[in-house]
Amino acid sequence: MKHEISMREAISLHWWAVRQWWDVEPKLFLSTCAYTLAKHLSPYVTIWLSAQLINELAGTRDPERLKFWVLLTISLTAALQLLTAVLYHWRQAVHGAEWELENRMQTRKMLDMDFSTVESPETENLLHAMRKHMMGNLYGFVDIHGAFTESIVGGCASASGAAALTVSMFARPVTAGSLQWLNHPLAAAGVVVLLLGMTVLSLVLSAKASENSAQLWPCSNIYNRVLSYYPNFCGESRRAMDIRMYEQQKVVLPTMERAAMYRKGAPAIAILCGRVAPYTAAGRVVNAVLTGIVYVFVCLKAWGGAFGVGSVTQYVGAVTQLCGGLSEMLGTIGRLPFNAAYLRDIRAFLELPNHMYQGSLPTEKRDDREYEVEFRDVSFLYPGSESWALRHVNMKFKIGSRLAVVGMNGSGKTTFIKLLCRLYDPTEGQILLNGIDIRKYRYDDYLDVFAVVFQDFRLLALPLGQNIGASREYDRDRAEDCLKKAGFGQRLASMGSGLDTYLYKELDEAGVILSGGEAQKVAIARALYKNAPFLILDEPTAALDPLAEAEIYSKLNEIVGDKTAIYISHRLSSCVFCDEIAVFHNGTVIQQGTHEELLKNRYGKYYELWNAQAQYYT
Amino acid sequence: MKEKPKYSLGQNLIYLSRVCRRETKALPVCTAGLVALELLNSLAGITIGPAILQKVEQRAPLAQMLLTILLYTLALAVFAAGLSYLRDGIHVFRSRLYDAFDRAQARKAAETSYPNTLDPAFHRMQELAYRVMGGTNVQTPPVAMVTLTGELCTAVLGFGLYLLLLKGLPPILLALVVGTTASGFFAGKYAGRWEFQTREEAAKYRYEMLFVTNTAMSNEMPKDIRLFHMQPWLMEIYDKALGLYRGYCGRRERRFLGAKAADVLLTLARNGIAYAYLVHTALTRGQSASLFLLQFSAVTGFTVWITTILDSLIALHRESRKLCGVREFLEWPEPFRMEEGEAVPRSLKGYALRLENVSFRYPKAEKDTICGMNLTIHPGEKLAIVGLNGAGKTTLVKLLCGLLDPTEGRVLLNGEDIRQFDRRDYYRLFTAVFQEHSLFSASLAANIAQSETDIDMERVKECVKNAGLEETIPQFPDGLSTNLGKALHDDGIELSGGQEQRLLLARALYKDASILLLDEPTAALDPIAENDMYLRYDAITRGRTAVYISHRLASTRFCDRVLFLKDGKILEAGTHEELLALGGEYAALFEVQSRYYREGGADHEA
Repeated sequence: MKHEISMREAISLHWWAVRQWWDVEPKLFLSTCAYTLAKHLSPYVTIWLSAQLINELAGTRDPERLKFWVLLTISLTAALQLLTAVLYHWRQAVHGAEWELENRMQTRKMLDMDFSTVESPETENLLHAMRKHMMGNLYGFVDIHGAFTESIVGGCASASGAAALTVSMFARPVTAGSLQWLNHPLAAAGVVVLLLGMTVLSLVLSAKASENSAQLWPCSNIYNRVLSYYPNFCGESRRAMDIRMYEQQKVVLPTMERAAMYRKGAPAIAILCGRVAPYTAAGRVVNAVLTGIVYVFVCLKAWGGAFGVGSVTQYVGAVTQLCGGLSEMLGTIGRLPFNAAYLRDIRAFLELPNHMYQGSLPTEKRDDREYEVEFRDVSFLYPGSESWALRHVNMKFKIGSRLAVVGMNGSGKTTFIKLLCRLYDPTEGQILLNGIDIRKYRYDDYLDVFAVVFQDFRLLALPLGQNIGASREYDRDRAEDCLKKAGFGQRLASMGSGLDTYLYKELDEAGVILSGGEAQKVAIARALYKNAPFLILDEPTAALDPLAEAEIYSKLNEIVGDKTAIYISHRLSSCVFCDEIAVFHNGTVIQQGTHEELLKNRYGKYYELWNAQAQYYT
Repeated sequence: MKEKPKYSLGQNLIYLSRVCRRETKALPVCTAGLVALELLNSLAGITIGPAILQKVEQRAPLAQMLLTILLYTLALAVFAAGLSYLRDGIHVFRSRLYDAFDRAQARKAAETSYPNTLDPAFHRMQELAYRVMGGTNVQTPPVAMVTLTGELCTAVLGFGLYLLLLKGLPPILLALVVGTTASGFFAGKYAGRWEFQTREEAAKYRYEMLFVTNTAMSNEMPKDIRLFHMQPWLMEIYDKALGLYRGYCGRRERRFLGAKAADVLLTLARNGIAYAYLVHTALTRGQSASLFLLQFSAVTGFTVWITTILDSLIALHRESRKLCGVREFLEWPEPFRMEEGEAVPRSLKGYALRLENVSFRYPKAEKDTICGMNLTIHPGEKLAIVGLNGAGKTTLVKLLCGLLDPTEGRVLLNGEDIRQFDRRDYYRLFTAVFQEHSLFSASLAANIAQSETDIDMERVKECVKNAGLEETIPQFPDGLSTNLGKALHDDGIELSGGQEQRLLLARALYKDASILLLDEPTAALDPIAENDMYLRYDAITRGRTAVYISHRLASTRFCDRVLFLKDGKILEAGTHEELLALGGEYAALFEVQSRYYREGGADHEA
């Protein structure tokens, strides 16, 4: 994996991330900073106090002074522990919902996007890349106000605390003659350089280890994907029959075995044991040697009479703390470009632009439902596609009429509906509502003109009534009325909590499971509740058996009322009811007329479609 | 409420050691190595300061002091390096143990008798086992238990070791240290128990938020969301749950803080007494400052061992309980005979299937789905099953192919009860196209051949042709090697409903078994595609035993015999023409479906 993000870009991405989180909740940073300062500074207080105590013990051993130091040490330590605990739990309370806050940003964005943006390949790629980062643990948006802030603030705090405690280490002169050279500034400088060098060396080693562990990523990627796919695959109810009839475990299990990251002879073992673990271990050796060097320097000075035994513990403690803090901070800075890979994707996602032009014209609220829609030479290309989904479509709907849209799969019927509801804008040509280009209307207003039951409609696992009203607050009488109109009245009466009954069991154990046909009726009721002048039904009876289908059709006129209705259906028997039928083929309307008119043309597509089904029934 | 776990901690440890012996012998060895190194490392870490200080304090010869530093540094370097290397490397073996369980679970889910997959109790156990084994492998019970056993051993040995270091201390002081540490620990646990008891409240809020996120991210929802203005509704649900969850986090942390404060006070008391005692003895017995440092560090270290012992014991019990769920799932009883059953005798003359007084009732259902049915399907016969939703069509097919066993009566294959056979061998007699199906995220060819490695490409091509896919396949980037689905392959493609139906047909053709089961697709196929599928089904079933569930009565006329099912019984049987002539319910249903085709076409026919 190449990370082509420069340090400069990485820093700007992190700064962006900090700003995002700051806007969401400043306390995320405040609590982390306060806790980190307490956590990183209080050890120095303890180190210093115990050093005084030990110095006293190693020195004059004055009971009064010992008592003073003991009391001061334990009370101050306890006070600091208490303070740290308070800040820690404050931080935890604020951060408890950090993932949910991040998901909220993504959810909100997803809901606010134009439909065309939702469906664009770019969005899909970004979501996919974000998921991949999470699997590869290169994931750091939520860390911004956690580990990231902590290591930067903590590193600074450690450095300043340690500096305060170690200045005297260099300042106090050695008295013993043979070790006088330690007093020379060069000796001190040498030690500092040596320690810095060791710290850098240990950082280089750990950077090398994490660089090499990136080589594990391709192995863990396929492993994680197989792991999150096949075990669930085996347990999915809808697969249970096929798995048994086709003995699919014979494919699944060997694939899982082959994908196992650390199976015998797997390349990942050589990478881990040969190229990652040795560097990490070497880093530990360097740290141990670093501690040894500190001991040598400090003990030599103490031996030479520069300070007491207690101070030895103080300096050793302070210097090791300093190196730990520094390497944590430098490590974080070194990983910035690495971490920024995810940030770049999430930023691109959160800043995806909405391309749809938003007009400002309100649609007229007309009681007479005199709405007229016209397609004028409309053509449409899906983003990233090269073949036209619709080409030169011209059509005008009569008010209050019933229009059927038929054609083979992929002939452009659904695209036609998507354009009509302005889920997409035409690539060429225009769609007019009462003579005005629909782009000039306010988007929400325009959508209010249509109620649609899509073929792949979904109901939410929330109360039935809320589903009908698509809102928490809704008109109960109207909802009930719409359900009755859609043929759901009996089932509603049998539900214990009526409109407040949850659908499905995801959020409520007492929820009801709907059959395909029942769900379809609820979806129709939801569309009726919207009370829009246009009602569009896409394959409204697909999940129904012949009797239920006949029932819906016989009631359609009553359901639709004075609205303009558009049906898409593969059961051509339903076309007989319609005032007008449009036959789509390869993205254009090739025939238009009433059932009788169309059937007269024995070479037309409609005749072919009709006959394919009718032959079995006549 | 607390159920007694099925296996004790000891039983589970023995079970795990057996699994380790089979799957990864190195894991226990490495764990023991970690224990030894941890102990050495901690001993070196606690003694380095005092040992060197002693030299300084006593003003030992310079060389001696430097030698002490050198030796300690060396020891610490070796131990730390060894520990670090082992901690990294042990992942290999932990991963192997995890994988063994993961595969065992996948195998159980895939191979368990079909009725288990309909049993809510089995499902709950499966879900539990999957959840327990989800997440990073180090956190899963089998791996965690091995790790925790190592930690427990380290802590117990460390406890003993430090006891030796502190042997000069009066027992009452040690008891005090143990007592205060344990009290602090249990205060923390008490707060943790509140979190455990209220976990469902927290899970509920989080689940509601997750539900909204999944809804927003789902591929199927965006159209409905926009057309019905669901955005404010969804965000309202999210924000309400978020507010409640944040409130919950606040309450939780206040509880934890209370426990922590108690622990701080206990530590204060313990340290105060330890300091007082140690300073006192140092003064009265004239002990050195370095000894004081050693003993005080040992007291602190001692408390860490005690906490670790308690922690790892509690964690071990918790993980053991979780492991019980996994084992219960893996050991769930199997009603069907598999390998231990007889092989199905192969017959060249074909297979006759007979239902003898068969009734079937789903568990906990109030009435039978199939009631006292008698039916013989002769070799080579083509049978159509029709009826309204809920008439029992699919259940009947499941009984025939041995996915379900009758509650009463028998299913006979050439006169022998199928229950005695190896069920997997029995399934090999059938090829099926069901409404609910299972395709892999693998190449199209692999999906047709149902194998990733052993694929007869010539045969695949022939089946593709017969299924009517030959013109579709070249449109895909890699032809038959094109991968299906993005779950495992970034370049995977999705098939349209019609293409999928044909792929399923090609797969059925490839299997080429004696008896064909077809559940007619209700997916939205356009009339021409639908007709094409009928004709293909007709062609491939020619000369084979075939059972055909028909939703549109149009297709029944291809069949030798039509069964009209109602309420789990065969109400009418005969050829399409016979049933129409009978003028019963079948004829009525046909009338409903055909009315508009005839009326609609009437003027034209006339």
